[in-house]
Amino acid sequence: MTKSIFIDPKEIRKPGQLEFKPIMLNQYQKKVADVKDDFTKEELVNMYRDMTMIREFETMIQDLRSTGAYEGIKYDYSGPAHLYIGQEATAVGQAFTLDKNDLVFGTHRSHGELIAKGMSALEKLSDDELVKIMEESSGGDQLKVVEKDFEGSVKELAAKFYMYGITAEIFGRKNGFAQGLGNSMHAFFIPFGVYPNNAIVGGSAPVALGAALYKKINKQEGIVIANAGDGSLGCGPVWESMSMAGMDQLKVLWDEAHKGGLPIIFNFNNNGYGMGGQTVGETMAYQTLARVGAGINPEQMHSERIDGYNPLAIIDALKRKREIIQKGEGPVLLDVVTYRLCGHSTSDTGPYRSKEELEAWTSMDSMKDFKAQLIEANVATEEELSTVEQNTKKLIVEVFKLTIDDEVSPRMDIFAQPDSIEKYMFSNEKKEKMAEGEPDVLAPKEENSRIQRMAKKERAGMKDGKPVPSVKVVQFRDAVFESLMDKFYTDPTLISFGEDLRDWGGAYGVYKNMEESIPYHRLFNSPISESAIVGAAVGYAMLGGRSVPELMYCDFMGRAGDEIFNQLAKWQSMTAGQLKMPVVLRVSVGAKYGAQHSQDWSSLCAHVPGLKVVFPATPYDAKGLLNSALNGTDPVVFFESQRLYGVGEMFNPEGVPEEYYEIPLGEPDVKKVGKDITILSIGATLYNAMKAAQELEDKYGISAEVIDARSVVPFNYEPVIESVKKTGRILLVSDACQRNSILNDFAQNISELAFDYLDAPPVVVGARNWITPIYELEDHFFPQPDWILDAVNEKMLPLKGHKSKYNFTKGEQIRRNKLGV
Amino acid sequence: MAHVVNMPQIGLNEESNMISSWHKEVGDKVSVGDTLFSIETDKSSMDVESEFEGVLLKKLYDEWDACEVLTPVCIIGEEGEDVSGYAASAEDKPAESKPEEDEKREIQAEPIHSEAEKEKTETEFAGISPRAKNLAKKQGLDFELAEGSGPYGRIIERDIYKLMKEGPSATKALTLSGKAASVEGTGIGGKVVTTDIAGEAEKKPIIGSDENEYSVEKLSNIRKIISANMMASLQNTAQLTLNASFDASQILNYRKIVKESSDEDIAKITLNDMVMYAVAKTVNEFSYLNAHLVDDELRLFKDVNLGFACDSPRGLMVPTVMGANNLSLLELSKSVKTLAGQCQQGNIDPAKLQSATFTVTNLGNLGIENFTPVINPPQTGILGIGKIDYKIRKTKDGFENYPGMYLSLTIDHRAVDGAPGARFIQELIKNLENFSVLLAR
Repeated sequence: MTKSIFIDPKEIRKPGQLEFKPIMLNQYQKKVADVKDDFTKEELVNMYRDMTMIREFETMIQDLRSTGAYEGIKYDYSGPAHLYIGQEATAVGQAFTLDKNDLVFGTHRSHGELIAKGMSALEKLSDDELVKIMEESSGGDQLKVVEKDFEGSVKELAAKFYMYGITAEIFGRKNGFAQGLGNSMHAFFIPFGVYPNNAIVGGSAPVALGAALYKKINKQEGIVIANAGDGSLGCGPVWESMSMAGMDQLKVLWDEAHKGGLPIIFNFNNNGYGMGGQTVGETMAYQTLARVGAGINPEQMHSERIDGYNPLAIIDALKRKREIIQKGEGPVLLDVVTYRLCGHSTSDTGPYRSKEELEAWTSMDSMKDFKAQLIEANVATEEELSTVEQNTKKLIVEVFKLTIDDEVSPRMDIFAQPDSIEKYMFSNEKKEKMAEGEPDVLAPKEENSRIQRMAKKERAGMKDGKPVPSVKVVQFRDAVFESLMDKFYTDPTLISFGEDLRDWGGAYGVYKNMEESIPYHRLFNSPISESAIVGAAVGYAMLGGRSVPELMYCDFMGRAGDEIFNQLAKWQSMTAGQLKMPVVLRVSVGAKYGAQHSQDWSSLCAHVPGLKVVFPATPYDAKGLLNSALNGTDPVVFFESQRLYGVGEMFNPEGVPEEYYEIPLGEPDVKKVGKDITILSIGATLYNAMKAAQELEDKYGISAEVIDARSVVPFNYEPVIESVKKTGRILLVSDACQRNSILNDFAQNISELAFDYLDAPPVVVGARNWITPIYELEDHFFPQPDWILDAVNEKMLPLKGHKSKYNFTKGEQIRRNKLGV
Repeated sequence: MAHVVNMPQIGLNEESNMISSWHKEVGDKVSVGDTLFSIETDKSSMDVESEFEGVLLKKLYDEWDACEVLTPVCIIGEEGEDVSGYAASAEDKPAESKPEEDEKREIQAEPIHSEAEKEKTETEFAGISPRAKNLAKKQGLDFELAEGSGPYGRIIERDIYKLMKEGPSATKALTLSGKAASVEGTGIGGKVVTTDIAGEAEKKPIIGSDENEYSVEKLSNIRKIISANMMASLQNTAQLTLNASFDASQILNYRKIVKESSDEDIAKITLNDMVMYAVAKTVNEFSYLNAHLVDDELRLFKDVNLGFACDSPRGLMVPTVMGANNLSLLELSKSVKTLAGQCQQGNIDPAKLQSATFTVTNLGNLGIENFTPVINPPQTGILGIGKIDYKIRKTKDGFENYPGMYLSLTIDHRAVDGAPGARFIQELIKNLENFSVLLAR
């Protein structure tokens, strides 16, 4: 969205035809003998070693799952076993050229990439660097185990260290790289550039996109590899990510210093199956995966098919693609054909493929083929390579024994240390800036025209007892703007992106005029790709950057479900606190726009552990809470109601302070003091709660205390319990549909915590379990002041002479639930 | 034009009063000043006289019904006048414990409320909120005597407060005794209402088969209050009674002197007045007995508001002589006579029945030696006065007799220990045995 780009009708409507460039397939056909002069012997033998390492490691898991023992040692492993057997050359070829600045993101089947990338990285690191990494990893816990009685080089020690850390992780031991909290499908080792595997198919695509954004925006070296399977091309987020990685603005609108496509390779390990579904011929339409690149951008993502059974072909491809990326012409798509010789998992009996097919591929086993080539090219003898195999086996057996020994490698003792997992759910750090340095801005903050206009406005919504007209008051949207601007001028890593933020100013004017101050690469319009928006923020955070992604409507969270619930929420704890997630996801709760644009989904977010959930209702609270969220290192889903963007501060008599201040997350706020009944509200419903309180007082002489929850997660019950002890009654109200609303959770906790003080059961008044009807009928859907009075009268405290308009009887409650409405 | 007679409000805290009897029937002629009906408040009773001339056209309540203060009780007008409009307006503001009226209100005000649900809960125990239950426990009340006003008849906090203030309602008591089930209801939808139960109670004995074995007397409002208060007192305080006696020669002599006086008021000064006088002067120096124990604090009063137990036709009443420590013996005596008279008449201002800081009770004139007076919480002590008996004591000249008067001091051991309590009696005895010196102060 920019006036500088002219959509020319003559151009658009002109006849013509679109040309595609040919897409190369398996062009590289060289063997070891052809290129042995380009590599050292050690490099080639190490490639073979890494393949055996993957094969042996996966064989161990396979044996454990299928026979309950490995090398005659019994061990019960019941975790995931999505094995890499058959695909070894693919991982080893990919890892060969990568250094520690190059990052890989994996899949549920990524033990191979994990091992290959780590082994490759440690070959490229100096002994000093390796010792430092080993000493710093888990405070030296893994090193202590593997260095005992060890004889050999630092690199050999590092190999043992790495394989032990991975094995312990996969077996859920405390000495795992994530203390066992990541395990098989989420393993990683950041010092070697191994970013997390991802159990969700295609899950790494948007996350890796965010990592690439970080490298681009913060000018970091290296490339990012998003590993995925061919099956993942059935997933929307993968397409969204490829498209966003190549969005035109990167080459057209961003400033010279940041111009260019993202440094990312979408690397599809194309083994022909998405679990059992055959991507070619059955479940997908592309026939040849490499074709997909042609649909994304004019460069066709430099897509080509590489023979993944020939590691040399992958090495060649990566060298060429790296040059393209360095020229700012990313992203790249690789269709790396390979084959899995084992089942999808150990429970796979192979009903979907023929014996002949399996035999045909087995006969071409890339590992055996590579060994033969090494011997044939006189790089190494049969005997030398047998020694490599024996060493590998010895190492894996040794590591296996160390890992399953409960004395050496215990699990977390949650009885002894009850906070073992709890302490990783949130990092709860305060960090003003995620990196040092001057933030890129276009002009001093005070030159921003909106900031100048705001200086002339009233900071409080009431003046001399009268409401200030909304044009003259600092509104909710201004409070949010002010907080964001403060952070843009403090934290150089802060970026914000979403739909229509720049130029338009966001659909509700929060970002209006911000483009005067903040350059493109820090504030940009994203494609309408909610998965990619949220996923990118996750990856951006993994590399240490802070971001504020925006979803224009809360209802669009469904489009980013995996990214919010599985990625954003979980990576801090799945990495045992090694990654921070400084992301404030702003979502706007709509009204007046019907069923798909009016939902409050704070309860959905509250249900998923690992997310902080905030829903301010006043400008003062909005700014203070957003400041806290932005200054923290945890993922916060920040709800804003569209009903409120125009309101001034009506509760804090001082209004919204111009200077920086924080309101801690999780502290409810008493908005009105009373003694007979407590009303606890979430979000914009506060204003209806206040009206109800007024009516209770005026008509029935009942004094209501009104508490605004402000935050949903975390939540401090103490002030609420204090209030209930005083009043004996509590009614909870919000605009979320009542079934499974977080209010029920609140009510249940209050029942337990204040049971002896209650004069009536806590009563929940939520929106009806319907679709949101048209605006004119919303009074029948969203809780109104009358609903609150009727519910009080029916369920808590009969009000003398009160005439109910809405049905809150027990019979009705049962009837509605029977019908599920 | 018809006139509405409203229920008067006597004390500031009154919410409703009970109509104890009607003195006029519908159709009777009424003149200004005629007694229309008698009422009983929480602590007192009075007759309500007519301010209008005419005929009693309609009674909105029966005897023993409670009626909110400042709401209509009856209508007086010209014979044959149509009062249906008034009746309607009266029913819009029904009394709290009038189930018939409640029922109508529910139907008018809460059309959504399912009748079946209401019915079902009527005969079952509808539950009590934890808060109300805790309050009842703290006050030593049987919560089952409370009338539930919460949703579906649940007993909620305000019902316990009402029970504390007004005592149990007849309807509730009878319902609990199991009578309601067999009664034919005349309310809406066949619901059992107060009058049904009352009628039934007349027809059938409550227990046993021979109705000649006993007669039934309804507890008056005051009786209910006394019952609840005494129960609460004994359950919630740590009462300890100390007994002593003293030589009453001086006060008996003084009584003889005043009796001869030509001043009628002086002549009426009694022994009881003298003991009260001595108590007022003495207790002022023992602040822990001139005190209220409220939760965790002891409130020590500067002046002595001396309550005295007074037997009235309506039961025990405790009027208070305010600032008794500042009064002369004569002033005190006159004050006591006036208050006692009002109690007998039943027209005492309810405000005068509150706020005592210490209480005296006398059963001596009924021949009682020692007894265990029951404290009126939150007071910390009560002094019982017993009869005078001739006692013998040993002197250096041998044995001599003297008139001894019994005293029984009950203290709340939570606030006062035995020894300080005994010291108070000691000092009191000293003052009574040297009454002339005390008067001189």
